[in-house]
Amino acid sequence: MSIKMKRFFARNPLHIWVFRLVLVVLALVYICPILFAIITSLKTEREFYSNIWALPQNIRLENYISAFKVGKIGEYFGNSVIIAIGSIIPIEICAVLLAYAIARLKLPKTELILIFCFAIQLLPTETIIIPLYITMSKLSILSVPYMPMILAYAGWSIPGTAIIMKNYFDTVPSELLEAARIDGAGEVTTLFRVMLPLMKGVLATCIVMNFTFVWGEMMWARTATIVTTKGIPLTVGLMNFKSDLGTQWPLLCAAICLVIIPLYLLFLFLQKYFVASLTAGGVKG
Amino acid sequence: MNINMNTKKTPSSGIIKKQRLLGAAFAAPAALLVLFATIIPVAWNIVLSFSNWSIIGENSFAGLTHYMEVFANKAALKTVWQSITISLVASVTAMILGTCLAIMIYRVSRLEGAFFRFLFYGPGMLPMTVVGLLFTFVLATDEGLVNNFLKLVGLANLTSPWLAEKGTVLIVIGLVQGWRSSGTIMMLIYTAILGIPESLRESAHLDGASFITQVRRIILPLIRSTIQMAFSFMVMWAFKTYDIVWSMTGGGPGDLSKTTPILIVEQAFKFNKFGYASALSLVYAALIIFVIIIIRKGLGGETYEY
Amino acid sequence: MKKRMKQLVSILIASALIFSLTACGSKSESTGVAQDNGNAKTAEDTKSGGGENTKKQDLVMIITQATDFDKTLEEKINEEFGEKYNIIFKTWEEQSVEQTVKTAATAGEQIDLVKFWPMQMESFVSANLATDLTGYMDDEWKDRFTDTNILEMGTYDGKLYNIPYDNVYPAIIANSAILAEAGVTLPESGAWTWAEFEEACRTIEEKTDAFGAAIQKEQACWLVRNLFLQTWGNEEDMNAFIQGKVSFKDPKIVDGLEMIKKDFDDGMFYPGEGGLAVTQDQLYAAFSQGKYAFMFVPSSNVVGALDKTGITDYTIMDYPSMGTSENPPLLGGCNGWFIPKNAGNIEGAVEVMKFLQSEELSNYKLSAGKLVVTKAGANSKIDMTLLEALTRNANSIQPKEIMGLDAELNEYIMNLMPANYFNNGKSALDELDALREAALSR
Repeated sequence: MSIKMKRFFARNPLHIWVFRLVLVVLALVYICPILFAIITSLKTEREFYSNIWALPQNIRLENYISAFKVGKIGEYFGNSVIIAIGSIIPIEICAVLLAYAIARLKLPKTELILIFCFAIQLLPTETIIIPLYITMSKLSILSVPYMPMILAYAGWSIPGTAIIMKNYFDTVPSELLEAARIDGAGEVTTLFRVMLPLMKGVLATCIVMNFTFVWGEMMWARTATIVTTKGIPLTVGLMNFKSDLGTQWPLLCAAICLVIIPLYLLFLFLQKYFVASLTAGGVKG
Repeated sequence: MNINMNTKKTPSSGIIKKQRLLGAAFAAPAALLVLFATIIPVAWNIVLSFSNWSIIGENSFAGLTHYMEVFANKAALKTVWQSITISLVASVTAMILGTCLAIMIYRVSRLEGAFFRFLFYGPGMLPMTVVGLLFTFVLATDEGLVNNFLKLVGLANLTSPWLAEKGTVLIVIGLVQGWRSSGTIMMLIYTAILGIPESLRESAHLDGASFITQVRRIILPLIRSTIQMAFSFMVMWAFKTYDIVWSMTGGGPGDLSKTTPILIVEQAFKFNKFGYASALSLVYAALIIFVIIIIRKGLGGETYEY
Repeated sequence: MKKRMKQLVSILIASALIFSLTACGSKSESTGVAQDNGNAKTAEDTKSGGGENTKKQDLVMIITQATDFDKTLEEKINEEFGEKYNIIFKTWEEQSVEQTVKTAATAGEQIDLVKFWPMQMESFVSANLATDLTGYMDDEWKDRFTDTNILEMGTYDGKLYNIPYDNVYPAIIANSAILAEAGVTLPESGAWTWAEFEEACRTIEEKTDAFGAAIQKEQACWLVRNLFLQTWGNEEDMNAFIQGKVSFKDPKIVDGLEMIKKDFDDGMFYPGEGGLAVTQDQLYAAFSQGKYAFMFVPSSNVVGALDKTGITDYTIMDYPSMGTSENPPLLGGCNGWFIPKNAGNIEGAVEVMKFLQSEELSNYKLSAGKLVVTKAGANSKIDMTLLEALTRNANSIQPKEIMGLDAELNEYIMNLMPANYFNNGKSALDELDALREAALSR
């Protein structure tokens, strides 16, 4: 074997090929629902019922246009994005501050309180929504678009996120922080100059988790928007395609595609930043 | 140096006080939100579980009757058992899939990894109800993809009404849920693996360790705390889901796949038994805590500084 | 690192802005609704005073779904009342409407009109969540009904809580092509007996590739409910059962349930195994592909089902009789509206109801295949044969069933039968008896 080939095989030993094969197979499985959605979105309803899995006869974009205009998917998508960003930013900020306060600022008994709050989060959403709804109604928050969702999601996610961050803070060697303190840095500066750059991995993790939760949450979103037609996110809006006459599958699938494809692009785009920042010397070692 | 030692061991009260104030200031916004969105509703629920409230109507003290009803009611206990089954299947599936995917993606080249990463995270971006509805098609007895695929590869005798049979419905729902969450788990594990310095792996590689050994001896132990955390969260999510079970089977056929959240909603909103529903959910939450504690003890929790 | 974070944040903000532009329509409207909803509460106060606030009063209605027909209804309502009220439609969803209304009720949020079934109002009435409409039902309105007895359905304890507007009962669409292929002919008049129906299905299965029948999982309870009504053969026994005086372990019931179980075990229902897990989409898809001959479908969905499946060679058949009497009673019910206690605009809701039950609109609904209970006048657009086929059994409808005794019994029979009997056998009957006795003792 030539040297080039040897190097190639050294860098790509057998197990990598096995991995690649498995990954491709799994990828096909994972992409199945999206493929199904794409295929169905190009059919008419009758075509769909006559053969669920067949390829569409013509490419017709009317479902997309209909989903966008009549189904208002653009609006729901925008609302979901606003709610997501509007929740994640406060969650991360509050959680970081809280975690730092517990880990470094010696607030008494707070760790127990935090675990307690996290445990409370385990209560099924169904029972939390009524009292929350009544409270918000009395405070007239329900009439403000987005706020009911953002406040609830933030309140629910902060304890868990703070625990993760606090655990991470505990693993930072204390010498680093002492060094900063010796250099005359105050707590705030220590937080920003020392901790945050180290935290990118954890922050990325938390953002991923929080985004998944906020984006897919339906029960509270539906409850909070009972009497309004504004500020409705995707999870609730997509259910409008169901009726007791049957789900309008082609329309629903067009709506799903309208949602997934920009999300895929956004995710792809952001990933470069996540991973680059994680591996480019920001992480300890 | 003396002064530094002093600061470390016996800080003056002024510094402590300042720290505490700052700590309080840092914690305040979080505390407010959590109080509002979590603590107040839960306290309300606890109070409710001891009463006989039904929206507009009398409100009388019920003592422990609801709690006793929870344990005496066979239907309720059945749903708890079914919830446990689905959640555990889902959690294990998600963890295994997620971890394997993360490891494999880590190993292949950067570009491929990125491509696969977003493919696998994709299902996690679809709402649960949509995933459930889609899978009713995949799992349909006659037209479903799974059964047709089995027929295609000659395994026709394995076809079965997945969502209609006692033995399979719970497991299948758990698998679907696990599949959907595996993308998130994959991302969590992946970011944790990235945190392991390359140098550790390379020295092992130089020592002649194969990749699999490296995984077992180095990567997995170092990310143990992340795995444990991910598992805890996964279990918590799995126990709480309502949407995916509801959209796939509606709790059926009969009450074969009725989970406790479904029962809670039914008791509260169909029968106006809000007190009972609250008691049920508190007991259920206690159960989840119990399961998570067992998991944490089982997986250990040492964090390595590295 | 800081620079990277900054870039990340700025990209996030940029994307948010971009997406906000697509939602900018909703944003500008949202400030509008902040004021409107604020008004919803004050509107309640000034309702009696009237005319003081210049902003329109809200009218929140949960009566429509995302179908073309309902969209036209919404347009008509907007045309008629848009000037007077600020109309808000929320999508009606069968599974969650009860939860929605009750949650809003706990906080006093305004919902004025809700679509719900008159026979199922128990859980609202017992919690005092429905408005008593007896006073609003004036003679002029009563006159519009083809048969005022129908109002009984929505009456509890002498008070009218729910106004029915549509008739619904089980119908069967038969695929004539498959029947022809198998050499099966439908009865000239009246219904088959259940045994004859089973015989026909067997013939179809022998002579063609198709299954005999198919039923949607949510409607599988029809088989059980009709059995409960029809197996007695005479009215006296049936009424005794409906009042809860007869045990569920009565031999007639057990025999009937065993008969149904055998049908499923024999594979009479598509797709054989899993006949109880068929979703509506699967039902339509299989019918469209000619996989079975007899589709069980609610009468109100017949037109929609025919449209979606594209089947043109069909016949509407009567539900086979599960008992011995000539004119078996049928389960059936209505769709209706009620006004929740947390309504803010009762007058507006009543006006809309009256509008929807006017002759003009009844006519329009009828031509779309909805079996209205109000007088519709003559109309050439209506397919008379279809209409006749769908309404010929309207008189056999038995509105009160044993389910009406109690909410939990209702839930059990509607959602857990016959599956629980198939899976658990006699213990399901024990559970039913326990619920029945509990209901009687209250």
